[in-house]
Amino acid sequence: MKRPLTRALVKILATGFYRQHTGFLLTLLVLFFSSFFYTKVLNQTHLTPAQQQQTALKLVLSSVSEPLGVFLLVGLFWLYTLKSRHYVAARLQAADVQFLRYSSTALSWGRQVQSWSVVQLVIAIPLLIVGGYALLIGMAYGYWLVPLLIPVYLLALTYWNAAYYTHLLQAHPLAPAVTANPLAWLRGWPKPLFSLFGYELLAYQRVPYAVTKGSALASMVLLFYVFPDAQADQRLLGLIGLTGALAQVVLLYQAHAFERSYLRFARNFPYAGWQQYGQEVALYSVLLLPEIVWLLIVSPFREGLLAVGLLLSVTLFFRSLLYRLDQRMTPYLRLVFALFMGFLFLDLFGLTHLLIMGNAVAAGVFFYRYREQE
Amino acid sequence: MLQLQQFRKTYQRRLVLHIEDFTLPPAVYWLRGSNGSGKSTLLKSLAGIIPYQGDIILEGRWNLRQHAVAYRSAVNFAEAEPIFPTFLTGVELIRLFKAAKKAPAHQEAFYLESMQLSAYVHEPVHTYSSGMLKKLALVLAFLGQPRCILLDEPLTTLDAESLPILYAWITQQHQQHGTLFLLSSHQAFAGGTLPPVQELLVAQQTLQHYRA
Repeated sequence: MKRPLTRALVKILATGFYRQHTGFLLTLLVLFFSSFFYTKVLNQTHLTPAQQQQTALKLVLSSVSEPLGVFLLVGLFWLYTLKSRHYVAARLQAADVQFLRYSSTALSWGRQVQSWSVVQLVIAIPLLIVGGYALLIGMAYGYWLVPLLIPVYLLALTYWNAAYYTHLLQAHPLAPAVTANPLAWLRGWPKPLFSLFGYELLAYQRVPYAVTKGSALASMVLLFYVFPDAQADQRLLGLIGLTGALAQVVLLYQAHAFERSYLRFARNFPYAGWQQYGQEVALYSVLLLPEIVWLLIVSPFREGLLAVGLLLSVTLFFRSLLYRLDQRMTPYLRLVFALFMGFLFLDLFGLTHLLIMGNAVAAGVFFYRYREQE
Repeated sequence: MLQLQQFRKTYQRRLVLHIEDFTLPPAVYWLRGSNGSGKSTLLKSLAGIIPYQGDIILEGRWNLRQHAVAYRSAVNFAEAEPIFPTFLTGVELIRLFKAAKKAPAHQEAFYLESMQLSAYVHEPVHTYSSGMLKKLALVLAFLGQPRCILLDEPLTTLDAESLPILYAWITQQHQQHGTLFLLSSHQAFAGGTLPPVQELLVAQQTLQHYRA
């Protein structure tokens, strides 16, 4: 870490990786890692403390003893490494890191691989924690082979990526810019200011958009069918609207980043505050169209309309928070989750109308107050 | 006429610019100053792109805070390093700017023709070189009926053949409409004819008239 190249690479790539994948890593932490470290099982009064502990550690022990568990652990490590490999490879194509091609490449191959190995290790810190934990617990319970192979496997993955990054910088000059218009098929379509982030999604961010829509619709459909007796209940539809809004956070964050980077020129445009807010409403009405259509199809019209109102107003409010917090992802996610819980509580008390009005007004106030101050 | 009153700009509590009271009658101004002196910051503040403290008033009636729409309708800006959504074509950007600035129909034709941009204006901007992008940004800054045009480093990346064309645009706009120009540059405006240029200096965190 003391070497200037290593410091620069960690700052540019590892930090960028964590910033861009905060949502993904938090999801991984909540869904997988928390259970992996310690699975709390209820009603174990018939077991001794030692047996209870072994049950709680069942997942981690399986990952170093059972073939399926080992396969899943190895697969997880490999997929994470592949994801980081794709991120770094794509990042090395960006204009702001091209200086690495004519600076870092002056060092020997070995020195470059060393620096890249540190970067990869920093990126893989979650894997190191999981792997280290599996190693310790496995050895404590008398499993030796797989736990001892975990560091070897992680080091091999690290070297694999480090050598690949070094090769990318040395062997390939910058690939010629893609000259094809990614939106050639939409050439004739009007592109008003409010719609530009939508086109950006179509041109360069189709996968994040599809994942967001998929996860939003899946969670909404799941909630709807889990409570078959309450499908016309305004509170359930409100909960579904809230869940749909929560699922948009990654998209909202990307919208903010896009506006800051590519729509700076539009700040000189003579649009009044209400027009700018109207443009936001128009954008998110379009982006939320799949969820809106589904809600209106499956529910009674009046309740469906309320759910749509809640979905749209909460999404707008979550978006407007970024004008205050800017690109600080972690506090943003914390705040959004906390607000979601609060809104859920109010919704269960039947205060859906109030939530819609409150969020729409708060979004407008935040938008007007903080957008100009950025 | 552009007035700055009690103007202050800070970045993370660090004072970058403090201009007590400064009035710029309609003219062509060359904004000088060393790197990091605050030229771009001043131009961005005047364009209404970044926040500031104090008052910026155009023609004695449009305060950027209180009459933001009228002010921004009358003040155009071209960044030193323009960035636009890469999938948009030059034509689509021109349409956006024309709609926002309420530009007359076909106003862009003259600028595109004279700067020889017509050939590639239908291509997406990610295919443009930095010089081509600069020319497009300059065209966009002349659209509408601006009373004030702010050009940050307009000469950077422009080829020698394009300089007299830009000077002719500035001269024509200033003489016909009395438009105020504020041009930041590290190099002198050579290679063409401009109206008399008044020199301003951004130094020691303030704005002053330049004296050689």
